[in-house]
Amino acid sequence: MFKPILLESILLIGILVVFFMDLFLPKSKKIISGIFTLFLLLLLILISVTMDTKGLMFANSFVNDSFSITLKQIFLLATAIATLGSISHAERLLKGREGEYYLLLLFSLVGMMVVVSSRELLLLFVGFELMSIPLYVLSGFSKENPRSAEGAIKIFLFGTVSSALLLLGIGIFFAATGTTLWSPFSVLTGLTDPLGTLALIILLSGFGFKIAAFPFQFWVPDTYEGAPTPFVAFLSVAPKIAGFGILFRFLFEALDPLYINWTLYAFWLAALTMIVGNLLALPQKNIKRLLAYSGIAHIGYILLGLASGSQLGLEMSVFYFVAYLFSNMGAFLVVEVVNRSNGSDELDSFKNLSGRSPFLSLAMLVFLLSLGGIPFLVGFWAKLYIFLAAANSGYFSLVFLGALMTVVALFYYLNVARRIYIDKGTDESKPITLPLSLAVSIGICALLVILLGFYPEGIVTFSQKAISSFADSGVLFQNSLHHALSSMGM
Amino acid sequence: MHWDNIIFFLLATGLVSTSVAAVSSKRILRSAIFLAIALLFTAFVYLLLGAELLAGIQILLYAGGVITLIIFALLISEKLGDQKLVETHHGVIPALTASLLVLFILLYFTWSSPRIESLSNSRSLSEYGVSRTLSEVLFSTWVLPLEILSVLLLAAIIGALVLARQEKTKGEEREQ
Repeated sequence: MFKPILLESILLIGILVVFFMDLFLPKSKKIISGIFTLFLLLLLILISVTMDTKGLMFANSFVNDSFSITLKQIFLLATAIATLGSISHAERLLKGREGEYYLLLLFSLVGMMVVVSSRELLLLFVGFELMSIPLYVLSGFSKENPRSAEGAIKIFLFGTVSSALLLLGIGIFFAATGTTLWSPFSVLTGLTDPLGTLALIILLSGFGFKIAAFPFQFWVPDTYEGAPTPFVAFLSVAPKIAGFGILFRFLFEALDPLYINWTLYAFWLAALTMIVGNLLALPQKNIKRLLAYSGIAHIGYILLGLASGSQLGLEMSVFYFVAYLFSNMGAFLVVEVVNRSNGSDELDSFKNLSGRSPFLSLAMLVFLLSLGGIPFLVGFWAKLYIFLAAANSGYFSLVFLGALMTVVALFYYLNVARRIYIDKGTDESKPITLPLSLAVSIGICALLVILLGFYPEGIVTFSQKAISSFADSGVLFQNSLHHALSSMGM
Repeated sequence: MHWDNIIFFLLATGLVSTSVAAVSSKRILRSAIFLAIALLFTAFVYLLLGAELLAGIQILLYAGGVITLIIFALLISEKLGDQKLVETHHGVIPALTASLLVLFILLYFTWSSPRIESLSNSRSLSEYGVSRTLSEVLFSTWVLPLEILSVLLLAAIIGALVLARQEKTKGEEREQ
């Protein structure tokens, strides 16, 4: 009976266990809560793979279909990698606050799992807040670092504005349609009214803050710079995928009558986000800021998949999630290791990394090349497939722009690689020691980036299974070629 | 013009002007008082729309509880109460452009909407404001958001505690 919310329930019980464990653990043994969190997440992944938890609950407002299950698996995986990467960071720098750190990560995870399952706007809003509020706190977790406080205030202010926009949008949506509940099986009336368009614009801006699309990206670099790096690895991936999860479900299932409007908005958002992210990444001297801007650019590529508005576009966006997850998290974890030894996030601290740790340099190179889209790493297929989906929908100009921007992106990614392999560092030359937990998490990410690059069919099948639930529940994927051409005035 | 339209416009003017005063006042204590008045105005708007319970909660929790706490905190930390606030960020033009753009979008779409007329003429259903109906639907239809809200509050409490708690420095730890 409680099958659809099985994962969330187990996770909540686990949260309570971590909570009480934290009360009784002595300060030197707090690492246990991190290890417990990791095993809890692995158990949940196992359950989500082996058990059938599909179904509807709570008057159809909560749905667990193959789309939400896939996204939940991605969130669980991201949180597990972040937890593994955090264990040594938390033990070293967050002494006495480790329990709260893992608790807040898990709370945010529950929020993400709720939002991708909700077919009701108020439930979505509450889940959205549950996802966001722990992120504000975690951004300010390095209390001794004033940058951390600055970043936390920025993400908090932007997040609050986005929540206010969401509430306003929900209100207008209710005024237009008379309901906050939607279902893919019936078309909402009243959306064709101008009020429906207004609700769409405001809700899109609200979600735009969360996925950090242009022009809502201002908080990203400052927040990334100050926050604990293993948490940034999580922040740069999981909440953004959750934001896209909401957009996919809401736009395709509820706002189908406004299809032409939102593909057009997504088209422009994708173009601007790609341009702004890539160009602003070029002059960065700090690796975390560089990865922040490159992350914004990647959001632009995923928006391209959304803009194409086709089944293929959505499938390839899910492919992109997986590729981005491993490449980006891996890169941030390498940054964490370098910061451990040098105490700096400047690009110059990567100089002569190849001489200090061949494993780390190779891993970073793999991540950078994958983010840049070099064959035959997983990031290459992700970009190729997204461009294919966009071209299939007739967005040739956008594909051209994307390809151009990929070249720009290669410049700044290879700039980091040049420092690692070619530039000789003068001050630091002693080998870097790697804690086991970080070595394992970086190793897993690098291995998967390489392996999945040789076997992309695996993720394609995974993505097709995810998106199949949209087609099964009657979402009509329209051939957007016609709309695209007419909207561009051709 | 119907009489409750006139009341609404009076309340709206009061609400907007006190809100503006709350953010533009240079003394933080005055800001708090203006905020309290703005929250009271909101409560009256709720009353006008027939949501009595919400109005009661608004007065009790926000105008009563939260504002009292804010003023209390201001008074016990003397430094804050006496200081004049200084604006350090002077981005008036971009802020004004952004707000005007939002205002334009809101006005444009609501003005051109044919549905808005029928919405404004429909009387509000006051049954949702009654505590009996509210408590019934809260624990039947809306039980999942309610439960998630409780998780959210737990997360917020933990987050607030961890941010507000003073960390012991290494020296203090050794002394104990």
